Amino acid sequence: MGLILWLLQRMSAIAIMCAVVLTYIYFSHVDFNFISWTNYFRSPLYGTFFCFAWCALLLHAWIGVWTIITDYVPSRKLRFILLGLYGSFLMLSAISALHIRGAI
Amino acid sequence: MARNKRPVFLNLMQIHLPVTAWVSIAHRLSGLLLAFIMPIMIFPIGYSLVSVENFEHVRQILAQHCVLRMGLHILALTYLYHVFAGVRHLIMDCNIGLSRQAGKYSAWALIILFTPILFSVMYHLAFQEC
Repeated sequence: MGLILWLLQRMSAIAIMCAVVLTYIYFSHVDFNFISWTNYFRSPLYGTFFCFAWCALLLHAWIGVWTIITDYVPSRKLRFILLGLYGSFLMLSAISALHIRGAI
Repeated sequence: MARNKRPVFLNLMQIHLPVTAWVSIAHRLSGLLLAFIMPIMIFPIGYSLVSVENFEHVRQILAQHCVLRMGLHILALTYLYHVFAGVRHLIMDCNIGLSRQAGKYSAWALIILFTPILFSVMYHLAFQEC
């Protein structure tokens, strides 16, 4: 389990870096306005990869925060509460990201 | 428990940490900041995608509020630092530069690489942005 988390942390990091580079490439070739902005999220390449990388970002954040909380919060109960709060925060963000992909 | 009787010395002014420790702590802190701010960023993005009016509204808010633009710059800086330190970790995961001396060199390399970016963005923020 630890090894899988370790690997996921690295892979998601690489996915996020790729998404940032792709976004940079896209917007360095077009004017920044509403049309190009929505086209970015509609595009099969950029839009899909954005959504994928957003999920990778949330996973990366979850593993990172989980690591920090297990390091610094000794009480099991408090750890559970904090992780639960943070997890629902991330779920909210994930639902919004999927909603963007579905709505456009 | 014997474990809890170990002496604790936490005078931060006197503890001398190696450069690798500072780089690692900063990696953690920048990650923590990003972990709380980045998930929120989906909401303005989603809002701006609904219609042209919404898009212009977000633009207007950003144009009016210098603090928000500053925040975005700082977020970008934090991200960049996190990426640099993360790439250093990825290289170490490939069994490159694992010795203590190599770790120190790469930590200094990271600082030397990041400092000009930090100062140029700070300069930009101080004299051009607001």
